[in-house]
Amino acid sequence: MKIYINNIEYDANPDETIIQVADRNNIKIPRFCYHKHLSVVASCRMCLVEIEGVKFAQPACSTPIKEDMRISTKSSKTKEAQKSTMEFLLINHPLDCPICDQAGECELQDVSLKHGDDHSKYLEFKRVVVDKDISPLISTEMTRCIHCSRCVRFGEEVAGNKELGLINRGEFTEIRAFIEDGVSSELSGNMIDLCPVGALNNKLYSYKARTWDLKQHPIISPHDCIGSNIFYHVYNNEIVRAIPKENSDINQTWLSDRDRFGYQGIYSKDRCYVSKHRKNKTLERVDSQDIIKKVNNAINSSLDKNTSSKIGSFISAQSTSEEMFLFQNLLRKLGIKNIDHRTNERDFDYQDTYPLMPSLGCNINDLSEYDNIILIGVNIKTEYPILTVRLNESVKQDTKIYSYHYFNMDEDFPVEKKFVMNNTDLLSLFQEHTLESCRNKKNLLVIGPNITYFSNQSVFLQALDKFAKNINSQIGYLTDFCNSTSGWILGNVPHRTIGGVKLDNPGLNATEMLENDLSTLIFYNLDPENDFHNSSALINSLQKSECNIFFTSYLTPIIEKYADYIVPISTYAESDGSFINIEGRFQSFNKVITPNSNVIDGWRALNELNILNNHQAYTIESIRSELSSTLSKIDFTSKILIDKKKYELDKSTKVHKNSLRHIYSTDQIVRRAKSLNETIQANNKSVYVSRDIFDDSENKKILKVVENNRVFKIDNFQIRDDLPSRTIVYSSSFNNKFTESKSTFVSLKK
Amino acid sequence: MTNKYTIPIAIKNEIDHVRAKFPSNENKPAIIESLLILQHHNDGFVTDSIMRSLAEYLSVSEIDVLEVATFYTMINTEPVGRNVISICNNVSCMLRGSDDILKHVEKKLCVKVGQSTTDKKFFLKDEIECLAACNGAPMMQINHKNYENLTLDEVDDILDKIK
Ligand code: SF4
Ligand code: FES
Ligand code: FES
Repeated sequence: MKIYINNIEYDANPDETIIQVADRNNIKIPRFCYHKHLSVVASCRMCLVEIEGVKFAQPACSTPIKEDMRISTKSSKTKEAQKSTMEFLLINHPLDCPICDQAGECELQDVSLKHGDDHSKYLEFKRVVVDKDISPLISTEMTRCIHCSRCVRFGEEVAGNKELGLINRGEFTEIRAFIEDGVSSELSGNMIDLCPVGALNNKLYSYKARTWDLKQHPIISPHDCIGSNIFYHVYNNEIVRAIPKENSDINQTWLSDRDRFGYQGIYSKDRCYVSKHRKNKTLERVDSQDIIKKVNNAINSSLDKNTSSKIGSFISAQSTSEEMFLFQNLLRKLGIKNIDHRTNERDFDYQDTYPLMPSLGCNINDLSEYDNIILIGVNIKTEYPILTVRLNESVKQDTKIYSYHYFNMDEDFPVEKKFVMNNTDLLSLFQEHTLESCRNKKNLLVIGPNITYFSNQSVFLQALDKFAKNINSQIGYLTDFCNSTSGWILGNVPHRTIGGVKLDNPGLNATEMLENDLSTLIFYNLDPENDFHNSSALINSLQKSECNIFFTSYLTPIIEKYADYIVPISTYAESDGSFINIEGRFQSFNKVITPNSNVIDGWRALNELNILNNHQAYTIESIRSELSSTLSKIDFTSKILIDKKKYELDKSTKVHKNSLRHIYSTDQIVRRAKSLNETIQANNKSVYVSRDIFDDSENKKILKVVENNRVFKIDNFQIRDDLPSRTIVYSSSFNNKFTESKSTFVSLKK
Repeated sequence: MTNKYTIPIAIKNEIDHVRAKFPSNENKPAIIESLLILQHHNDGFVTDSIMRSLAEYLSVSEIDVLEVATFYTMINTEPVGRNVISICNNVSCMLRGSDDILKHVEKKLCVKVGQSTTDKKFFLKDEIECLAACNGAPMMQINHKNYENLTLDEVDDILDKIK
C-alpha cells in the first residue's frame, strides 16, 4: 500500500496507523499519549495532522492508513491544530522547568518549543494536585501531569499489575494509587521513563544533577541472567541514575527496578577500600602495590607446604567472564583443581551429565512461540521481573503457563494452573506425571535456581528429565547469578575446564571443599554471610584453615574476622567486563566509573598474579578474543540429562526446609541497594510454617528444628494454610540468621 | 488499614447476576452496577474496604474500582445524607431560574452543593447534568422522584414534608 506524507510516497502495511509509518520513516509527529508498546487511546490530541479530504485534523496515532492517503505534517492546518492542543495542555501545567528534574529531556518542553506559542494568554488560576508518597523509588509532582495515561496503561498492559489509575473526571482528574496504597510493581521504574513530563520522577536522582551535564555509559545488568541492557548516567564520576538501553531481543524498552536502582549497592557503607593482611591476629593495612605480591607468596608457600589438593577456591557467578577466565586459568596453571562457582548448591551428583552450560533453550524473543511454558520452582515476578513483560506478551498470544513450586506465589501474568507441593510430593509426581493438556504440543520446561539449592537436586533433575520426556518438552534453565553460564563454560567447576572439557581427575566441589579441612581457601567476589549453601559449614572451615584469602568489594563481619589477606576489588561498573546471558549471548561493557584509587581492577589483580608466576599476561582484548574463539568452537545443542545412577526416593516423614530467593537479596550488590530495600517487597521477610507442623508441635510459641544435629529455635513465624504439608519456608535464602542450609530436610523436636 | 468488608451472600448473588450479563472473561463492565448495589446496602456510599472487597470478588484491580467510583457522580465515596437532592442546572433549567433554586436550597439547608446536612437528613448532590425533564424546567429530583415547574415556595413545601 502507498501513502503520501508531505507529498512523498511511502510504503505501508494495511494494518498500520499514520504515526507508525511516520516513525518508521523518521518523520516527526509530536505525541504524548502514544507509545509503541502501549495500546492507543488518542487522548492527548497532540499528534493531529491534516489529511487531504478530511475536514478536521485527525490524530495520527489512531487513524489507520488508506490507499493513497495524503497526509501533511507541516501544513498550516496541522500547525494550527497542534498549537491549539499545546495551549490546552499548558493551561494547567505549572511551567516550573527551572526546578524540574525532567527539564532538558522533557517531551512537553521539546514539543512546546517546537509546536507551541511563545507566550501565554492564560490569566486564571492553575490547578494544583496534592502529591502522594507512592514509592521509595518514584517521587511525584502531580501538578505537572498532563493525563496522557501512559503510566496507567503500562501497569495494566505491560507489568500486568494496574496500580495507578485516573481518578475523578474533567478538571479534577488526577493520577493516583488506590487509597493509601503505593506502587509495588517490580517494574515500576518504567513509569518514570514513560512519563513525558516531570510528574513521575526518579527519587534517587532527585535534584542530583541536570540532565545536560550527565555522561551516558552502556552496561549490562549484573542482577539476573537475562542480561538487560542499561545506560548508566554519570555525574562527577558518580552513577546518578539508570535508564534502559533499548534492545528488542532482551529488555525492549523496559528495565526492572532491580536493574534500574541496584547500582546503589556500589555506594554501600561497607565497601572495602583498603588492602589488608593479618599479622599477629590483627588486620593491618597494606599498600595496594604490595598486596598482590603478599597473596602470591601466601599461595605459593601453601603449595610448597601442602599439596595443591589442600587449596580450595570459590568464585561468585556474578563476576565477569574475564575474571572467571583468569581465575581458573591462574589456579589450574598453579595445579589447583578445587574450583567452584556453585556456592549456593549442596548436591553435585548431577554434574557429569549436566549440559555444557545452563541455557534457556530458546531466545527470549521466541518464548511466545511455545504452547506451554512450565515453570519449575521459579517465581518470575520476584526472580526475573523483566520476564514478566515477555510472559504477558506470550499469554496474549495463547501460550499457557503452568507453575510447580513448594510455595504459593503471585505472578503478574495469568497462570493456567499452579501446583503447590512439597519437595517429596513433587518428586513422586514428576515420576508419573503427564500434564495431559501439554501432550504433543510445543513445550518448554524452565528449571529455576531454587531447584539447584535442594539437597536432593540430582534426584530432582532426573525426575524432571523423565517428566519432560513424558510430555515431550524441551528443558531450559534460569540461573541464580547473571553469569552462571560463564561459571560453567569457562571452567569454574571442579570437573570441567574451559570450554566444558571434561577433566579426568576432577577437583572437589563447593561442598566437599568445606568438608575436607583444606589449608588454604581463596574467595573471589563472595559474601560469606549469604552466598553459601550452609554458612555454618563455611565458618567451620574458615576457622580450621591456615590461610583465608578474600578478593572482595565489601568488608563483611565474617571477612573481617577470618581473613588473612583482603584484596579490595572493583565492582562490575568499575572495570571492563562481559556477561553471558541465559540465551548464550556474550555482552561486553566498559568501565563506567573509576573507583577509589586503592581499589584494584578485579581482572588486573588476577592478571598480576599470572605475571608474578611467569605465566602468560593478558589484556582485556586478548581475553575477549580468547573467549570468543572458545565459545565459537562449542556445540551448544543442549544435552539432555541422562543420569545412569539410581537414586532412592526418600520417603521418610522428615520436614522440608526450603527458602525463597528474595527479590532484593539475590546478589551482593542488590542486597546493599538502600532504596530497593525500603520497598514493600523488601519488608516481606519471615518464616512460614505449614499448619500441620504447627498443630503437631506442643510448644506453640517456639518451634525447635534439628538440622545436622544442631537445634535451632524459631520463635517468630507465620502459619500459612496455603503451604504444602510438612514444610517450613524461609522468605529469604540470603539471610542465614536462623538457618544452616538454604534447602534441606530437617526434623522437629517436640 | 481499614477492616475487611465481607460481602453478604445476598449481595454476592445480585453481583453474580450482573456479572452474568457480560462475557465471562470480562469483569470490568460489572463494576458500576455492583457499586450501586453495594452502595444501596450501605447508606448510600461505598467505603475503601467495600471497594477492596469488590475488586477481590470480581478479580479486577482495586484502582479499577476506584476509577469507576470517582468518575460517576451517582456513586459516593463519602458518607451522605439519607435524602438525595439533585437540582438540575443544565441549559433549560438554568434559563428558567435553577440557579435561584439552588441558592435557595443551599441557604435553607445550610450546606453547599456537594455536601450533606449535619443531621444527615439531606445530601445536595453536585454536578447534575440534564435529568431529561426539560419540559418541566426548572426541576429537581429527590430520591429518584421528579418535581417540576418549581417555585421557591414549592421547594420549601416539598423539603418540609420529607422525613
Ligand atoms: S503521571 Fe505522567 S505518565 Fe502518568 S498520566 Fe501523568 S503525565 Fe502521563
Ligand atoms: S499521541 Fe495521538 S492523541 Fe495522543
Ligand atoms: S436541562 Fe434540566 S432537565 Fe434538561
